[in-house]
Amino acid sequence: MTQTDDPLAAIRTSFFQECEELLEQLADALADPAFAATAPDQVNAAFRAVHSVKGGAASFELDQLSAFAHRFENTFDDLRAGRRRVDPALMRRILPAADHLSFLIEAARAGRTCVDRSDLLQALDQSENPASGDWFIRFRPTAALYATGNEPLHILNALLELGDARIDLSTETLPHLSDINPEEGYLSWQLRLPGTIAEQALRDCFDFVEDVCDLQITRAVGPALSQAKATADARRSAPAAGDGPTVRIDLDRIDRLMNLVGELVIGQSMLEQTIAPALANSHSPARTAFDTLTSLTSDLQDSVMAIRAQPVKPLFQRMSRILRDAAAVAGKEATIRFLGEMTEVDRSIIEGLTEPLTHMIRNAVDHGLEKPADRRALGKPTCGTVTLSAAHRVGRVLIELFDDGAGIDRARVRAVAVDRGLIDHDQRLTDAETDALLFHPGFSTAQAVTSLSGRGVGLDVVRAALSRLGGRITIESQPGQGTRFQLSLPLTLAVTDGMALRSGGQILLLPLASIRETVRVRGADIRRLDDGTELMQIRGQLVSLCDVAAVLGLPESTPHHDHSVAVLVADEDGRQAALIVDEIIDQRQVVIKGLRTNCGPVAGIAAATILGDGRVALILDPGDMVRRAGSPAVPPSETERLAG
Amino acid sequence: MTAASPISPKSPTREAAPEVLTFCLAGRDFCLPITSVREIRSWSDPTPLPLSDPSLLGVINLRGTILPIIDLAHKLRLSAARSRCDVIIVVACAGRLAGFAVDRVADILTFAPDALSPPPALANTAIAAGLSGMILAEGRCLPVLDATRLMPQQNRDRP
Repeated sequence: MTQTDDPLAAIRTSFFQECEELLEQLADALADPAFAATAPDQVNAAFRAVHSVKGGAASFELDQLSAFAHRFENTFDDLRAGRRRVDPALMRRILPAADHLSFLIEAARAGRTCVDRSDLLQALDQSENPASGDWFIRFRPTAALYATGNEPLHILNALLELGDARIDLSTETLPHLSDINPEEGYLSWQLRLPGTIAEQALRDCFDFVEDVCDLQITRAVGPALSQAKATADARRSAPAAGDGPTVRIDLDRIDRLMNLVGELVIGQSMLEQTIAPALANSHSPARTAFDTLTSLTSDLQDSVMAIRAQPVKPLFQRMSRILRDAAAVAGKEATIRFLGEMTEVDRSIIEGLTEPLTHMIRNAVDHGLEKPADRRALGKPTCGTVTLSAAHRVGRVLIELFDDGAGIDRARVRAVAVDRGLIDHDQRLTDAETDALLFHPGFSTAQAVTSLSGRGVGLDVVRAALSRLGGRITIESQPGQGTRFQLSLPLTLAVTDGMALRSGGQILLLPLASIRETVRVRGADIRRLDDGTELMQIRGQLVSLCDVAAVLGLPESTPHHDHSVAVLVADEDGRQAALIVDEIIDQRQVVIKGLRTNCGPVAGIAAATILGDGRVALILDPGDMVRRAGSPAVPPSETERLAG
Repeated sequence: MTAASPISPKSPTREAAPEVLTFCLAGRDFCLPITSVREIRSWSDPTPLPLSDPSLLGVINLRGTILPIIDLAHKLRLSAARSRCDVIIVVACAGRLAGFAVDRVADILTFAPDALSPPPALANTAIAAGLSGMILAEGRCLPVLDATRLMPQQNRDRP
């Protein structure tokens, strides 16, 4: 745009960044079960968030946004003053309004206007069931009130002392500045006060002015809300929940810092090799100084890592919005449940996950969950639950999406696959193989299956997106119980503990977390199957063998396994393989460097690292190695396709 | 081919006149637009990548970044055997980095935009695929390579 030179542009950018955080705080507050009980902390948090959006929007003259936020904020203001309570009906109206607020922010950021949804606000107002018994006061001073030296502010203050009041100033009758008669009074106020206040106390406030103003004091019918005052008091006493001060940093700067720290670690190990003789004596000053340096470097590294990692929570929260939209469109009832949302993952992974997860959530609502009537008939709760969970596993992040819907209709998947020519009519498939067909690129594009695969975007697209992140997806389904998708992703840019191995003349690293044990290979332990698969007996268990050098096509592979070492590794699913290597060198901490951006996917390799001498060493992908070990007869590309 | 638009080393005449880095590969001259060249490095032995494209020699450490090294002579089918290279040209395009192994770097040339002609039909399809045009001037004919097309493939099927 043309505003690049505008100093306001930078402030504007930071406003929108702040909006993201505010929306997150709002979503947090609304998702908290305590909000449904009108707990002051959560209501206040929601109010503050919307209020800040309003303030910022107004200062940038984003009228549509600020007007919406203003009216939306009133709802929370009523709640925190105890004039209203949260009930399910109100909740159902607040969430779409909150969603619309985020759309308005997106629109304002893009310089667009958004569809007018004041109907959402009207719905909020309509569902308004003001605490019955509240006092309503209309107060309109006449010129005589001012002429007699009375001050409306004193009266309003007196009313405020009686209880928490909502005061609205009406300026409808205020003429243009040039037409103002300074002797005249133009303003009027509408007040709402808790019904617990005695009428006489209210009347007393207007004691001296009753005959010089228009005054109406009315009471809403029904019982008074006794908690109103209590809630308001609780609000006053509750300190504002404040996290420590924060700064916003450009991601590039963190990356640069990250790289520098990585270089520092490498420089340090180069230094260590150079001054090895001086370090040999564990009591020498050089040794002590070097150890201090080592521990500082390691702390520095951890700190930088912590800056870069972010909890998956904002991502999950975004998904709850998608779920609501999808459920509304599909005419289904659905709630979302989060587990492990504070799990920290590298920012780039979080960014890359948005698109595939969005699709999967829609998929779960469209095809996983049944219609409310069907669910009732099956004896399930009418409202379906989609669970999103995140956890760290074996040096990777495991994200699971589970819906308690109907599960995969395998007969139908099979029929479609046969129809599409993906499998033969009489081909036998296990359940897992049938489910894996959903990921086949040819599966979803067919017109005939749009009702099954959604918007013409199939799970193959999801898988491709995950594969770009170095991730894998697996599917598991129980008819009638639901479907579980498991996404396994790397923690890129992290430091990992690895075991350095030598194989085929190269140094390779294996993530320590995947290693079960190491054993020396004896020829007698190896069994050979007809198809060429080699198995090895380890503690009475047969495990397939995988000669790392041969599988990866490294130049110097040794044909005999005698005297080599087997490293027993397991993937995320617990499947094991014995990797044959020439030698175990040592155990070390390595900085993970991404290969994918510059080199594309590399078979059997998860990432790379830089050794003490500045050379690059590759980090093996245990999961990929296990799969390669299991089926040497199948070409790698085929394994990849089937395993997803 | 006329002298109206001569190649002149480092001619400061026109602003935004395209500049190219010329280099030698298997005894032949090629060039890359200077805008795609990040730096020139002396040779260091790459770590080979498993089951990769034969023209991908491996990866080296470029100040903390893993840089794939491409054997340009092999990629362009100029020589059957892996050539012994001395220089790495680090190129950047579309947010990705790669190193091109070449025999030696020659010069930086400025040429007039009308000296650039579209790539001709070539018998060597490998060269044709990596070519973005030809600079014709002073009787010389200099193929201009397109770095983007010579980068490792992002989503290739695993070999």
